[in-house]
Amino acid sequence: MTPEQRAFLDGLVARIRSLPSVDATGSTAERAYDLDTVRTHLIAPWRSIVDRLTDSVDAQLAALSSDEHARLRVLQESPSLLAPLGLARDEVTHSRLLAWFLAQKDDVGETCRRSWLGLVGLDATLPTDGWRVSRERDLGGHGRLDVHVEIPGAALVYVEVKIDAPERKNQLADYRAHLQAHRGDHPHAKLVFLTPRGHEGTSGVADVRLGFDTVVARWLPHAVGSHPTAVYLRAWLSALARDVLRQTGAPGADWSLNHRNGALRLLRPPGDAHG
Amino acid sequence: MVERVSDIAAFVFAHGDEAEEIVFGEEDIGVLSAEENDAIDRAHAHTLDTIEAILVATRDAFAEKVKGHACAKNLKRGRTRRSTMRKNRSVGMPLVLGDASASITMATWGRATMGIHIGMWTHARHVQAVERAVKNAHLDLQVWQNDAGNHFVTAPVPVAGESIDDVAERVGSIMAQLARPIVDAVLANKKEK
Repeated sequence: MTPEQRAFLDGLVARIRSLPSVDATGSTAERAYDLDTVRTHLIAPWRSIVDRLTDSVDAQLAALSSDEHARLRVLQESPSLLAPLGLARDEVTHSRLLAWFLAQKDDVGETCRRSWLGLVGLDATLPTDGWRVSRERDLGGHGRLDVHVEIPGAALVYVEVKIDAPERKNQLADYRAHLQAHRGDHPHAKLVFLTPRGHEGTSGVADVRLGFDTVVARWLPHAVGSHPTAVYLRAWLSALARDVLRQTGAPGADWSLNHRNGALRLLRPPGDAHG
Repeated sequence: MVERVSDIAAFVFAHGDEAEEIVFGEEDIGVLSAEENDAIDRAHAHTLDTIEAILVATRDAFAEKVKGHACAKNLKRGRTRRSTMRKNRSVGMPLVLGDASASITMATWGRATMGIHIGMWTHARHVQAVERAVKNAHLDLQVWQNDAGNHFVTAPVPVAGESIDDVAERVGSIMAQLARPIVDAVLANKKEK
């Protein structure tokens, strides 16, 4: 570094140090956020705000339709089959369950498949003849994919599931490269990153960022019947809501405001995909 | 940059369960006045700035404390972006690539108050070895395990007036205590297998 460069840098550092500190308790920060406004209009009336919000949530719950009540009961009453097994947040287990429901040949499986197509940005009326689902598929040097869905001649969907573990370096980019190289005659090819709330992957190359919250909301209507697949689906979706999303409380427990409002959000299906 | 925890941020942390709906909720609450909604937006921005400052400083403090240990080797790989930290209120860092990682998350996770949750994820094949290692380390920490067997310590959230550096120091220190035996166990277990 030349003396001129050093002098320039020293001057720059001195100038930065002379700027007013943006300390949360200091006057600059106080002005930037106008924390007095927050004290007056949020902290002081906090209890009143909580009461109004609670009343609003309770009024919405009281106004649910009978179908929505049936869905709410799924969340309130279904025990988790996975927690006693120590698998409540296990990615491999949830991937297997997702693949299992997508592969069911009965009516529940078919409705799940149809809404799944919409969730991953595909036409929900695509013909699903020959639909094939596999899990933990070895992609050679590109890694091991959690769920692989193929509709011959129509679509190829790669799904990577993450709950607690971080994305391996370039993991999605590797899957993207493999998908491009192997899409063959499939006009549609989608890379889906499925996380609790539709987070963006580190490498950010997924076509669809999908959240388990959206899956729960979309599949809850299919879980209220008496068909054995629906019964199992209830247990899984309820476990997802409680253990993966932490959106609802334990069965029979007195739910907090957060849990009650969380359940309301799951009863109102959001948009298909975030990405 | 936030350097100290304000009374506002401390209040939000202490009322975590309610704050999840009021301050961090994604939907406009129809039953509030324009002034109250404006105050919520300001509190939200300020609290997120505080959380981001805590996460960044704690990540740095942890890296400093494990310098020279095997924990430090992969810390700079896959660093979480600040925007992602703000969105998730969490930062993750690899410890042993594909086998162990650490995270710091500021959330309620169903409790009334927010906590600073320090998590150590390990691949399922290491869980038993890691459980033994944590037990044998006799750590002076309240360690708990989730259903998958991963180890956590929930540190109290900061109080008003606490400096970000002090928060990072105490949380980074807990992380380092927990991470060392876990990473040692994972590496030994990998060698055995």
